Formats: sequence, structure tokens, C-alpha cells
Amino acid sequence: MADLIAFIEDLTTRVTALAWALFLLTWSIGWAIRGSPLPIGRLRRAGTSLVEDSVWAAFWLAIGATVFNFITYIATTIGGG
Amino acid sequence: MPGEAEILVAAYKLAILTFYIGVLIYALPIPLTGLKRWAPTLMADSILAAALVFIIYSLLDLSDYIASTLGGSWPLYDSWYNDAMGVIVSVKAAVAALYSVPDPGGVLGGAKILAAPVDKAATAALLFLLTVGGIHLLIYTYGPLLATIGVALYSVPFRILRGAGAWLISFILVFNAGLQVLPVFLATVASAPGSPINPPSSIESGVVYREVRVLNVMGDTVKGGLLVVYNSTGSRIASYPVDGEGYARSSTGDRQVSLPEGEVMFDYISNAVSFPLEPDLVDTSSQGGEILVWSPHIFWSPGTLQYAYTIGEITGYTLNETHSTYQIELYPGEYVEVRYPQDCPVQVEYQGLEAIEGETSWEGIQVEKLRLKAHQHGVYNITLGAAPCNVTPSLEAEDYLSGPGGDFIDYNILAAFILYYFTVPMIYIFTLFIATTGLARLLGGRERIPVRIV
Repeated sequence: MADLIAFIEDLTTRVTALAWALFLLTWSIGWAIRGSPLPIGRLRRAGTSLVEDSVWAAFWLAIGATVFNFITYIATTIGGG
Repeated sequence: MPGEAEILVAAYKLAILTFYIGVLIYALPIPLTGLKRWAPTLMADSILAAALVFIIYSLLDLSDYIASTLGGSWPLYDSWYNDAMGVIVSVKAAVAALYSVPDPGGVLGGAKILAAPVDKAATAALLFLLTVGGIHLLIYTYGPLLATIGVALYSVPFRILRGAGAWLISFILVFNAGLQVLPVFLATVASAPGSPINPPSSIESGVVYREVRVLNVMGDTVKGGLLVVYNSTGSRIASYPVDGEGYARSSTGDRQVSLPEGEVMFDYISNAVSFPLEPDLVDTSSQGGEILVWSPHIFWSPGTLQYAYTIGEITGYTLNETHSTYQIELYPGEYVEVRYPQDCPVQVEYQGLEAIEGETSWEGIQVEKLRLKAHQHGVYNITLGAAPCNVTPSLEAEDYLSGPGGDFIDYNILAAFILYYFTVPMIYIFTLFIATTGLARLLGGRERIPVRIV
């Protein structure tokens, strides 16, 4: 069981690191598409959405630990334990 | 085997993993709406799963609280369950006893046919109760563990096992409360009925089949009359007519008559006189196929209902083909008495005895009686002769093992029995399953397993 928990924790760490990397990549790609001299509206909108998503991802990555601490606090308050 | 705490830790870690996978999908540089829709879904799932990890014990407490608010408790459930099991097993035992009794006369045939559906109802109720008992054992022993496993399944990313986890959590929560309240629910619908089956008492104490032959003190058979059977406490339990060869006959005319297993006493009644038979107590279970009983007082019994008896002592005798002569020692006041049907006359020769003649009727037969009374002590010669007799008294056998009476199965109690132990609990358990499904849907079990990603 401890192995399983360690595996999940390891996986979480990797996923977090990958998510940060992907944030940078997506943010860059998004601005690149948005700033490209191509007069195609749909492509520009896709670039905008990529930038927005990546910013949201960065926001949640930064706030994730806080979210789970908050859940712990709420649940222990409700559960009385 | 991992404990509940470890499982909950794993569930919590899985929830965090789910959250970051959701974030990862947000960060993916692939602008596909179908894929991106997973990001907020996974994040919301992870937050709900993490909350469940922390409040699962509170939910279990809430389930117990609801049960106690409605008046239920595990001791109440246990006592109901044990009572129900006792009643149903007693029904099964009664039916089994009915089927196990030897019954060559077939007097139990109707009762066996009537008992068959009762037996089936009891079997169904027994199987159902055992199922409920199994669910109870599962919840009472492993309830919290199963609930934490449910939470762990619920926390697995991408909703793969979310439905299973939600159903498992709901099942524990609903049945934990529902089973405790079951006796309260039943009490509002009906009161607990007893056993609907009343087997004859003879079946429960055991039955044996024996030939019983009645003899006089000379070793000759008595003919006609009635053999009465008493149990060891002196209650009359059966009576059988005696045929022309001294055998008791059952109501079906069989020489094998039903007797209780154990000690019995026999009396012989003929021409309105009752004779206790020896041995005093007969153990039917230790006797073989034929039981011999005899009267110490009757010394002459040539034909049906023709006999002579005395309380004196027989000191000698000579037997001829037509006449028999007996030497009998009598003290003052003692006597010899001869009784016979009016249609079957008997010749009596005697000396020095006072004759008192009389008549009586017994079972529709006119009986002549001749009492020879001694006034002095001495040995008296009495010669007796008789013609063959064709009188047949109308005596009915009362078998020890008889068909059960009209109250063998109480149909009102049978209806209440099926209602209380089978129909209503089954509807109740079915309702609990529906409630479980409903609660599982509330927790998110409704979502189909998402194979389609885009």
C-alpha cells in the first residue's frame, strides 16, 4: 500500500513538472500564433484561447496546494475530526 | 490487507493527482474543445473526492444517527433476525417431522400435501433471510472499510471507477441505516406471527408400529373387545378393536397398530368390564414386531366376547373339545363371573356357589352375566362349554397416529407469516436498493464511463 501511495505521489510530482513545462510551451505557442502575420481570424482566436488556458493552468498550479489545504480545513470543520 | 487509514491516504493522493492532471490538460497546447472540457471536470471531481475522503466517517455517523432517530438499532435488528430465524426453522422442523413419521396407513397423506407449500414458503423466507443476514454481516463488520474503498475508487482519475465507488459508498450508507430500521418498519405494517403449522402431538413424540396380541391367563387368545392404550401418565391415547385371533386392529384393519415410542399401559374392555393387562408398563421401542399382553383374571375365552374371569386362584383344570373344567380356590365373598352375548349362549355347571344372574348392554350388544359367589372357603369345580359365536360388536378404532385436525394449518397465520417474513422485508430491501442507486447518482455515479476523449 505504501508503494502505491509513493507511486501516486511520484506521479503527481511528474505531472506537476510536466504541467509547468507545458504551460511555458503553450503560452509561447499561443503568443506566437497570436502575433503571427497571418490574416486568419480563427487561427488568431485559437492562439488567444491557448494563452488564456495556459494562464488558467498556471493559476491553478500555483494555487493547487492552497486548494487542498482549504478542502482539508473545511472537511475537518464539518466532520468535527 | 491495507487498513482504512492507508486507503484514505491513497484516495486523497489520487484526488490530488486528478487535480494536477486536470491542470495539465489546461496547459496542453492543443486547442480542442472536447479535450479541454476535461480540465475543469477533472478538477471539480478531485475537489469532491478530496472532500469525501474527509467526511466519509461523518457520513457513516450521519447514517447511524438517522437510524437511531427513526428508532432502529443493531440490537433491535439482531433480535428481530433471531426471532424470524427461530419461527422459520421451527416451521421447517415441524414439516420435516411430519414427513419422517412412518405412515403405512396413509392417514397423514392430506396433511403432507397441505404442508408442502408451507415448506416451500419457509424455504424461500429462509433463503431470503440468510441473504439479508449476509448483507448485515458485510456492513456490520466491513462497513467502514468498504466505504473507504468506495472513496478510493471514486478518486481514480478520469472517472474510470467513479460509478462503482459512488455505488459502494451509497450501499454502505443506505443499508447501514436501512437494516437497523427494518424491524421498526415491519412493526408498523404487521405484528410478528407465530408458526402457521400445528403438527399433531403424536408426531413430535415418535411413533412405532407393532402387532399387539391379547391373551388370557392360560395363554389362550381373547376374542372381540377393545384394547385401550394409555401413556405412562395414564392418559388414554388410543384404542383398537381385538379380532378373532386376539390381535388389535387399526382403523384401516391392519394388525400393525400405531403406538407412541416409549412406555405405554394396556387395558382390555369387553362386555362392559375393564381388565388391566400385564406387564404393567410396556416399552414399545424395546419390543420387537409383536407385543404380548395378558389378563391375569380371564381364564376362559372360547369365542367372540365369551369369557369367564375370577379373582380367585386356579389350582387345576382339564380341557376337552367341548367342555373345560376348572378347579378354583375361592374365599368367602370371592367369585367367578361368566359374560357372553345373548345370541351366543354358554353352558355353565357348578356346585356349592350362589348364582346371581343379570343383563347389561354394551356397544349395542345384549350381554348376559352370571356371577358365582362363594360363601365358604374351598376349591370349586366349574365346567364351561360354548358354541361358536358370530356376534360382531361395532367397535371403532381410535388410532394413535391420526390425521391432523382442521387447525393443522392456520391460513390466517400463514398469510401473515408470508407477509411478515417474506413479502414486506423483500419490498423493503428492494426499496433500499433503489435508494442506494438514487444516492449513487447524487454522488456522481450517473456519469457514464468516458471512453470517448475528444
